[in-house]
Amino acid sequence: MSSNNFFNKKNLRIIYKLLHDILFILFVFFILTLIAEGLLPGIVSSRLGLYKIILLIFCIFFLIQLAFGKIGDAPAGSFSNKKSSYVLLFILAALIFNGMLNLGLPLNIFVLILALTVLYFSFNLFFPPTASS
Amino acid sequence: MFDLTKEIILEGKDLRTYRTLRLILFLFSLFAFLYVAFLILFPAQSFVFSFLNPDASSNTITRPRNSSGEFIRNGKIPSDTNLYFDASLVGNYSKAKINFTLNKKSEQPEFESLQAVRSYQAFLYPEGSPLGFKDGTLLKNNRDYYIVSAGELHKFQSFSVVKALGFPENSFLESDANDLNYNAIGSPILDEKKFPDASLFKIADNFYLLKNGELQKFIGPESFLSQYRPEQALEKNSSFLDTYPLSENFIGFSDGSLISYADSVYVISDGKYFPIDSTITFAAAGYNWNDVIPATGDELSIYKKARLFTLKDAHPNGTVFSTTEDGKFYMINNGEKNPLPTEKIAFSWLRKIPVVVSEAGSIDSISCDRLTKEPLTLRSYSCELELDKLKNLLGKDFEFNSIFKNNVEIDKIDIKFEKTFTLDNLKQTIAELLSRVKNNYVQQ
Repeated sequence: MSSNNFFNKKNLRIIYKLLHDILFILFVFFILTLIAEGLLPGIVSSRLGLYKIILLIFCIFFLIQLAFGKIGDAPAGSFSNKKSSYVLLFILAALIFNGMLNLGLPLNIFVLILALTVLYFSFNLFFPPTASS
Repeated sequence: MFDLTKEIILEGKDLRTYRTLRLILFLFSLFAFLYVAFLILFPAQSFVFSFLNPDASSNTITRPRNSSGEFIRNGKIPSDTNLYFDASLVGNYSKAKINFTLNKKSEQPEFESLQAVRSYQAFLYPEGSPLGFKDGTLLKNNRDYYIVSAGELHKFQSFSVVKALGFPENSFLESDANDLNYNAIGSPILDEKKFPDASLFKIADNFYLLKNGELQKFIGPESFLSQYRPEQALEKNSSFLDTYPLSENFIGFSDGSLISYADSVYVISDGKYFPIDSTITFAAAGYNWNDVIPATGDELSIYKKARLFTLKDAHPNGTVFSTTEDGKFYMINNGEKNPLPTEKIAFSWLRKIPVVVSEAGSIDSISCDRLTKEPLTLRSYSCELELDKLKNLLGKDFEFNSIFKNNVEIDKIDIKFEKTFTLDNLKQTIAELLSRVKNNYVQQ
């Protein structure tokens, strides 16, 4: 019965907040790993499988959802943050550019613009902008 | 501190608990990050060979073999017999731990010694007989003129024969009597109208070699230049092609040449091209980017594609090594390294920068003479080698040589290379990482 007490609403709220912090740390670690791998392929993945970080991120996502369901009365948070979106987008563009260095500069830039355009429209398709935003 | 879940408001004791746990979480993450950084900056590399499954792709130790070079598949090592094995890796490490796991039927090992040298596998081949000048080389010694054909020196009867055939005097390489000692003496050239075998011609922009009375065409100018100097070819007009029949066979690049096609670099040897698997392997093999010759699909088509050239592969036939200590040259040929005994002979073969190697690497060895039983194991014995003595030697391969006084049966060999936690090692690793980044980006 002690486990029931431990996962009470009060503790779940702390766990929920901590899970977000863990998710944030994992994201930062994953992005740093991707940058390092872009510069020197194999530098991290030869020692630590990237799939392990991804699995861990999915596990944390799942636990967050689980904790959110149990808390019940908490208002849903929003992850949208324009500044961090721009930073992530820049990192994504840099990784795509780095991955296509062999193509030559003009073709690389062309493919990069194309990829970002497709990404933008796909994002709009799946997450259509609301009238208020 | 930033809050990712502002919608959840904690107060009082809960807030304090959350903040404490969050601090612990961040500290733990910092240690995890430092641990990964430590693994990268002070890396360890492990190699293994299982005699229970000698053909497994997971075996990373190269060629366990006896003194005659015969592959040992079953792990049975007779007494006083050398067991050789190699491990190939990039960078300098502080120590290596070699672990033998014996079969349960094996006797207790009576260990004699384990030695290690560091060089390139091919440079550790036994030394063969010295090579003479390359076929097609024109030589001059005082007033005597020669051409090298089928490994033999053919003397022109007189300078008038040389003149009548049209060879310009500047295409003859000045050499002394010692240089000429390494080629057998062949029949003299008397005919003023008939070109000797191994004569080289340039017709329009194409190059040809006369062989067995036929003209063999070089697949392209670059393939000629990978073997000879431009002045070695005698310029002729296209009507000369009617004088000799044209062979169906093309001549390609010299063995050991590095060629690039599309995004890959290949090493050429024995009618095959070996794709080099990475820039790391390229740099670790001691190759130079300036030696890479861009080739066309047609030029590559005369070769068969071979397996990948990886870090654990030995340099193929045709590779020329030059020693750092005394500038000696050696050419790899069928499991031997043949000295190119004089500077002039080396010049006749060399059209690219040789692979630089430390002669001391094949001589200076480190050893351990005690094999200790590993704690908590039944049949595992290990010994540790300090690698500092081999630190400045050039070469990607460590060759180990162990001898047991009695018959043993080995199931598995493990080697673990480690870098100790020192400032020197840290600087070295950073320099190596920067050099790898440079290789990835500058030489594309």
